Amino acid sequence: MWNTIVVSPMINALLFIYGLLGENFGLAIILFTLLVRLATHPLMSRQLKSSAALQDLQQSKKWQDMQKKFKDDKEKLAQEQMKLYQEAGVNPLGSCLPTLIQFPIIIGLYQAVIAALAASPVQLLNFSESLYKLSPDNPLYNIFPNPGSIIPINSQFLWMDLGQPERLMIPGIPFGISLLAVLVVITSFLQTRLMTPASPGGDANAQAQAMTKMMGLYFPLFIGYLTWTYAAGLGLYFVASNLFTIGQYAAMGRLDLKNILPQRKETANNSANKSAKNSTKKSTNKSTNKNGLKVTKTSGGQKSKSKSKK
Amino acid sequence: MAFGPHVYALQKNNGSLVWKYPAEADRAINFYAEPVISPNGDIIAGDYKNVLHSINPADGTLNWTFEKSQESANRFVASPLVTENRVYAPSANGKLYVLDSSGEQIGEPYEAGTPLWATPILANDAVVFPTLDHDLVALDVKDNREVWSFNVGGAVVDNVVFDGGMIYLGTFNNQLMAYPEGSTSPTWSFATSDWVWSAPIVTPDVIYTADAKGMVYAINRENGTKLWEFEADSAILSTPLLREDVLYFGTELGSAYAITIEGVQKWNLSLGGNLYTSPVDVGENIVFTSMDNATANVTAYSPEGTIVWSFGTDN
Repeated sequence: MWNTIVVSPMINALLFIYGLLGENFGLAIILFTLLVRLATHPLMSRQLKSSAALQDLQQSKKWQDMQKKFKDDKEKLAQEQMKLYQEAGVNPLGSCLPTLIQFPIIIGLYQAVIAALAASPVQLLNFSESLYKLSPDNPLYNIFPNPGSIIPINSQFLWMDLGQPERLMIPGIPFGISLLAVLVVITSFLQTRLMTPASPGGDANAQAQAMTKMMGLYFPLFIGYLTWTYAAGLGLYFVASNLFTIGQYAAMGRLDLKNILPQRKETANNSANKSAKNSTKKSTNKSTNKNGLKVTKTSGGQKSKSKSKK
Repeated sequence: MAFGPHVYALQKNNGSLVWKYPAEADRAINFYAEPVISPNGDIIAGDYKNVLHSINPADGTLNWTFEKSQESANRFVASPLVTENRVYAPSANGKLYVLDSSGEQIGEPYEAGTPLWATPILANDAVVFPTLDHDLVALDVKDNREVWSFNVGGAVVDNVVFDGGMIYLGTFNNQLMAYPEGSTSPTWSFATSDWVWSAPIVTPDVIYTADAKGMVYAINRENGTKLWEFEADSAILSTPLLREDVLYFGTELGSAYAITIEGVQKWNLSLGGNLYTSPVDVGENIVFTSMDNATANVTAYSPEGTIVWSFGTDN
C-alpha cells in the first residue's frame, strides 16, 4: 500500500521530470522538491496563520494574567489555556500538520531515489515493478515513453553521486568532507531562525523558549547527520526544501532577518529597568558642574556648556 | 552453482553435495554471478566484493583470486568469458578485466564507464559485450582495443548471441534486435511487451525470447516476424533452456514451465520462491533453482515434470 500510494508515484514523477530535464537526476530532485513545496503551500499558509494567532494569544494581557493567576495550579492552568484557545479559535497543534506531512514525503522520496539508482539486478527488478509502463498504442505514450529507454539513471550531479553518501576529497585531508551535510545544517538553521517568531518575555515562557532554542539547534544537526549517512539525493532534497521554504516565507512577507542573530533576553524586569534608566537619564539631562556651568546633554550624548547667570 | 557465501558442486544424478567453496562460510564473500567452467576444467566465479575466484573442480580448493578489481567498490554481476588462455571479466564498476589463465591481469582494463552486467562473447576476432548504458562494444582479441561501439537504444543486461554473422540481443527498450556483424543498423527488430532481461535462443530458423511481462516469443530468424507467443504467469528474467524441442523456463512467481517449440504447454509446476536463473540440462534431467531471501532450492525434474532429486543450500 505504501509503495502504491507514495513511492511509486514519486518514482514515476521523478523519472518524468528526469526525462524532461535532459536526464539530470539532481535537477529532477530539485524540481520535484519545488513542486512538493507548491503543493503543500496552502497548508503552510494555514500553519503561519495558526502560529501567528497562537503568538498573538500568548502575548495578550489576558493570557499573561491567566498564567500568573494559575501558575501554581497546573490543572487549572491547562483548563484555562484550553478555554482561551477555544475562545480565540486557535488550535495549538495547527502548526504541526505541515511538519508532520513532511515525514512521509522525506521517507518516500528517499526510497524513490534509492530505487531509481538501482545498483544490482534485483534492485533494478524491484524498481521496474514500480514503473508505469504504457503500451505504444496508448495516446499518452509520447508523453510517458518506455522508461526502459532511460535506464540506467545517471546518478552524477555536480560533484556528487546521488545514490551514495556525499564526500568531497580535499587535497591534504585524508578523509572526505560532506559539504552537502554542511549545507543542509546551515540552511536548516537559517530556516528555523528566520521563521521562528520571537517568543514573548516572561518566566512562564522560559521553558518554551528553551525548547524552541534546542529544536532550532538539534534539528539541523539531526538532518545533517542523516545527510552524512544516507544517499546524497536525500541531502539535496533537504537543501532545496529549506531554500524553497525560506523563499516562500519571504514571498509571504513573514521573514524576519533580525532573528538570525542571537537576541538579548527581554524579561519583564529588564523592561522595567530599561524604563527606569530612561527616565533617570531625562532627569539628569540638565545639571550644573562645579564651575557653575550648566551642562546640557543632547540626545546624542554631546555636552554643551553655558554660563549660569548670577 | 553459486548462492550466498558458497559455490556448490553437486552430483548431477542425485544432487548430493560433492564440495562447497569456501568450506566454511565467509561473510565477506557473497556470490551472485553464475560460475563458469574454463577449458581446463577450473571453476571461475566472481563475487559481490568484485573478486574473481578460480576453484579446483576436483575438491573445491582455491587456485587463485583476482582482487585488483576491488580498486572500486562494486561487484561481479555477470560471469566471465573464459577461453583457452584468457579470462574476460566484466565488472559492475564499468571495467572489463582481461586475465591470463593463472589470474594475472593483462594490460589495463577496458573502461566502459557504465556497469557491465552481461558476459562477453567471442565474435570472430572480437570480444563483444553490451553495457547497461545502451552500448554494444567490440574489442580486438589481440590487443583489447576498441574496434567499434554503438548505441542499441536500451539497456542490455544479458549476453548477446553471435551466430551466422549476426548479433542478436534483447533490450530494456522492449526490443529484440538483429545486427549484421560490423553494422550499426539492425536488419530487423521485434517489439516485445516488456523489458527483455535474458539472452535469446538462436536456432537455424527460429529465435526464442522472453520478457518481463511473462511472454515467450518464437520469431522468424530471417525477417523478425512473430511465429507464436505464449504467456506465463509472471516475469521471465532468465534465458529459457531448449532441449529436445521443448523450452523450459522459470518465472518470477516461482513457476516452472515446459512448452513445446510450437508454443504448447507440456506442464507447469509451482516451485515457490523466485526463479531468477536459467534451467540447466544435466543429461537426463532438467534442474531448476528457486530462491527466497535465505536459501536456494535446486531441484532436478524429469522431462515429464516429476521430481528426481532436490538440494537446499545453507541458510
